[in-house]
Parts: sequence; structure tokens; C-alpha cells
Amino acid sequence: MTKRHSPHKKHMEHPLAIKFSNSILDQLDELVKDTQPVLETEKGSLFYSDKLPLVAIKIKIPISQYLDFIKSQDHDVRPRLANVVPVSNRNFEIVINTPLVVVGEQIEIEGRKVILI
Amino acid sequence: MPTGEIKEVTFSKSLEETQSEVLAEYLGLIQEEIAREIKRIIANNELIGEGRTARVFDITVEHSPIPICVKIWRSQLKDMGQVELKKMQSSSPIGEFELQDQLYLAGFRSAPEPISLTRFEDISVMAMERVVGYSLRQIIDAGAQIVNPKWSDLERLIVEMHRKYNIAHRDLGPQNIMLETNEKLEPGATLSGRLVIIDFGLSKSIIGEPSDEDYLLTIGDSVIRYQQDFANIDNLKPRRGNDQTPFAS
Repeated sequence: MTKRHSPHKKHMEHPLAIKFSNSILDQLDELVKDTQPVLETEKGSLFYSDKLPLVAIKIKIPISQYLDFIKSQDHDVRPRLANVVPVSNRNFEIVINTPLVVVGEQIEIEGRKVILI
Repeated sequence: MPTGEIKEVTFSKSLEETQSEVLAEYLGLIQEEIAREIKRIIANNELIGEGRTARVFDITVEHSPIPICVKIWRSQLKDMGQVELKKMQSSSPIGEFELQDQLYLAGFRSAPEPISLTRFEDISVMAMERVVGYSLRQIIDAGAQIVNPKWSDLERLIVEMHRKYNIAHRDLGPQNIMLETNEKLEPGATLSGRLVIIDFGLSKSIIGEPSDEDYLLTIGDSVIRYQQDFANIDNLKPRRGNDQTPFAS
């Protein structure tokens, strides 16, 4: 008798897990659905509300390519990677979990210019 | 049709598998950064609350749209008797986070809105809305009084939490009820604001009014009792001789 393997690969639990509340993610979903992005490039669109503690990015490229793009930024404009968190099953793919300021075409986090899209 | 030996066929990874590997690698990259950030918060940020299981730090920065704090659970429980230890062991940061999220999603606005839960090895960190104001314990200790809302508003709030939102808090002492206010706390001050319930660490989902069983935890042969919500609220009722109420009569 042939031994059959489960098609589901068993993964070790990662020591780091980040979960966002559905209450905030739902509000970000609405924001992405109902409003215009505050900034848009060929990489993605950034949605921000001055009432929400998180920021949403809807990317236009595959997630692996986007994360490579963020990791490859020069140190002086690279955001802290811990502030750029992928999410799934939403109208957007990335959560920025720190306050930011959009000035024209530029994004600042803690007074430092960063490139997010 | 070609014949001959059938070669072993290997399928390329599914998109889901590739994505999950990319994400696992990314989490690996950011975990050290997160561990450093947690240490930095503990060392530098203002400690705004401390219990035996966790500490709460203010992390609001200049451009935060709302005031934010983080609850950082201790990796080892501190100075705790057997009963308290069992109560704490029967709860979990993820349980507390999800319960508070459900409560907020259901429309209960008299609790801080949860934002995120980060778990790294044995450390859990919950980010949430910071309530600006004072706990009823701080108000009692300062010798100030709440003139608005009234004690009956607190009673109504707890009835609503039970009947409409199906939650028994089970640790509703004056340290876990806050008055959200911008007014200054000083002896003799009369304060107005909004009541907010915090710390749902020992809370339980219920159906309707909490029953006696909702306040019991059975582990093996031992039965542990939680604090009954209304007994705690009754202790805060303004009446002659009660110096442990912040509410004006």
C-alpha cells in the first residue's frame, strides 16, 4: 500500500508573530475602499487617516518584490523593517505600524525622510 | 504517445508556499529589531501602569493620531500566590487581545481600542489606545471626587457590558476603571469625564447575566473564585461611611 502524505506542509511556528486588531484593519479596509491614496507610485498606493494609528499600503507588485524593494533602500531612507508588516485577506497588503507625515511627495517617520513606495 | 520509464515528477512550489517562505524570512529579519524596540520602550518610555503580570508604557509620539500605550507582559510572573497564579495561567495575551477586539467590533466604546499584539519568544506586547485620565484608585487616593458621570452610570455601563456585549470582567476593582478626562487630579478636585473599563485579562465571554459559574475556575479538585463584577461596583457606591468611593453622592 502506498503511503500518502498530507498535501499540507507542516511549518514550525515562527518565534515572532504580529497580529493587528480586526477593528483597526476593518477601518483601514474602508479607508482603502472609499478614499483616494495620499501618495501613489508605480510600487503602490499609501492610505492614511489622521484618526487611525496604522497606515495601509496597497501594492502593485508582488509582495516578495516589494519586501526586496524595502530591504534594498539606502540606510538613510530605509524605514525600520519592524514598521513594515505584511498582512493578508485585506484590501491592502502592507501595514505601517508607526505614525508618519506626508509632505508633498515625501514621507517622514520620526522626523526622518523614508521611502515606502 | 511516447512510452518508456516514467520520470519522477516534481511540482514547483505553490504561490502560497512561496509567499509563506518569503514572510517567514522577513519575520526572521525583523525579529531582532523588535526585540531591541521592546527593550528600548522598557528603558526609556513612561511607565503608566504596573501589575503583577504586565507593565504598561506610553508610546505616544508627536504625530500619533491617537494616544497609544503598550502592555508588555512579564516573562515571569511576579510575587503571586497560588490562586492568582492559577487565574493568570488560565488567561493569555492573545485571549485578552481577541476579546477586547471583539468587544470593540461589537460597538462597546467604553474600553480602549486594541491595535496590535506582537509575540516574540516568551514576550507579548499589546499596543492599544491610551486612555488619558486617571483610574478610580488614583482618584480615591488623591482625595478627589467625580461629579459627572455618577455611580449609577457606572452600574448601567456594567449591565450593558454583561447583557449587550456578553462579557464578565471578573477583575473590576477601582484600578481597572478609569475616568477619561483632561482635568487635573489634585486633593479636593471635582472631576468630569467618561468612564472607561480597562484590563480584560481575566474576562470571560458569557451569555446574558453572568452566572455564579462564570465566576468560578475549576482546576482538578480546586475551585478558584473570581471577583464578581457587581460586588466590586457596589463597593464603589457612595454611601455614609464609605471612604472608598470616588463618586460624589
